Amino acid sequence: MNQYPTEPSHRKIVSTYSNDPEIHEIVVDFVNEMPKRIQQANNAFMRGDTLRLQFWAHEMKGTAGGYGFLQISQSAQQLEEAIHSKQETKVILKALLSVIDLCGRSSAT
Amino acid sequence: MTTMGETKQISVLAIDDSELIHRLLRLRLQYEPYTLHNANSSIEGLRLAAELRPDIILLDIDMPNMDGFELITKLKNDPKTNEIAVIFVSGANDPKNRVRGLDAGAIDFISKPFDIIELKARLRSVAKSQRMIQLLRDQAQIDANSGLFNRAYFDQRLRGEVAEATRHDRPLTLVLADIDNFKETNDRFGHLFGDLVIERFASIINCRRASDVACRVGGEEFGIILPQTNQQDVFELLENYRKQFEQMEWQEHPGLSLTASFGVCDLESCQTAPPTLLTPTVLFKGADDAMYQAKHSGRNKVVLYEKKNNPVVA
Repeated sequence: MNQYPTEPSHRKIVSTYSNDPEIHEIVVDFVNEMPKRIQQANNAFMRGDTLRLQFWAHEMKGTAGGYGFLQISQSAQQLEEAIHSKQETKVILKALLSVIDLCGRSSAT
Repeated sequence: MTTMGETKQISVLAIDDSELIHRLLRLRLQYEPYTLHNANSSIEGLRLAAELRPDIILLDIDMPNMDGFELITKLKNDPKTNEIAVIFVSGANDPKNRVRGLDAGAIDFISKPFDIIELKARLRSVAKSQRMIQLLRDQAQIDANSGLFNRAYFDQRLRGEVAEATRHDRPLTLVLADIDNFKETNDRFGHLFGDLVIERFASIINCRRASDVACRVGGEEFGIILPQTNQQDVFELLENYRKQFEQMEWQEHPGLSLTASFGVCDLESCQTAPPTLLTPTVLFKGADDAMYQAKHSGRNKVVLYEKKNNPVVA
């Protein structure tokens, strides 16, 4: 379930570490690699590979917050829980779309 | 792990199958006083833990092949790794996992995504505890008079070194040293002077490679464990120790000359034909035989053990 239904879908999500020079470079890498990660999640869902999708959500939950995207971590946690509790496909899809939306709007600055 | 008298940087091994976590830790901990090592799988983590023996392990739970719970159980069951402080860093945050992790022997549990300030604070706290534990452990293993390791440590270390040397087919030498006529010296000049003699002799035999381990194994008896060394290789060194002690001037008693006898044995020399499993007792007995040979042939000697109880006297 999308916890952020009122978030305007065009608005970028800036890393809370955008002004942190220590990790700026890897935050940029993290954001640049987002399209690839979104593709991986899409592929897993389309193939019905829930194990891989759950692993994807688990990793996103564990890492995104560390790169300054706590919102993505929280959304990924909802996806992980939906898969873990064997929710209906439409519930999982909704949760997935929510994470993907946030990932797609992530920005390093 | 830190050993007696050493002050070294705390080493941390991060075991996580996510490269994103490793990247983050590398940058976030780059200015902290830790040496950071990475393992990208539980199998690699287990291998590096035994090889590097880090002070702290940051351990993920959800990993393919072997999860963090299975890994910590293996670490805690291996004498080489069971003293390493393990901190779980995991996204598997429900209380059951936390309790299971702590019950398995973890010292702390940090949730992912982690706050870096909290992670650093927890690492500092665990590092401080580890230093204090090490200090207590060292103190329990040190002989107060000589400043060397005590007999309990010697026995434990010798067992470990013999097992290690036989497993990897590496040389290992044991030296037993005994101050000649120590009882008479004690009776004649008093116990305070006897303590000084012990202290000075210890300072002579405790000044070589960091890998060598000098211990006080009895009243006036000392043991030196020399890994990766054959008995012929230490002969000159021991001759040097023997001469230093013999030539030492005792301001308290001018003109006094004290001496010591040394018995040396390595694993190769006490091997039998056909080969049998070598034990610390066999090595100790070889060095002890050589030392008594030194005593019975006039003292103040270095004697290398030879098979068939026929030591070479120098």
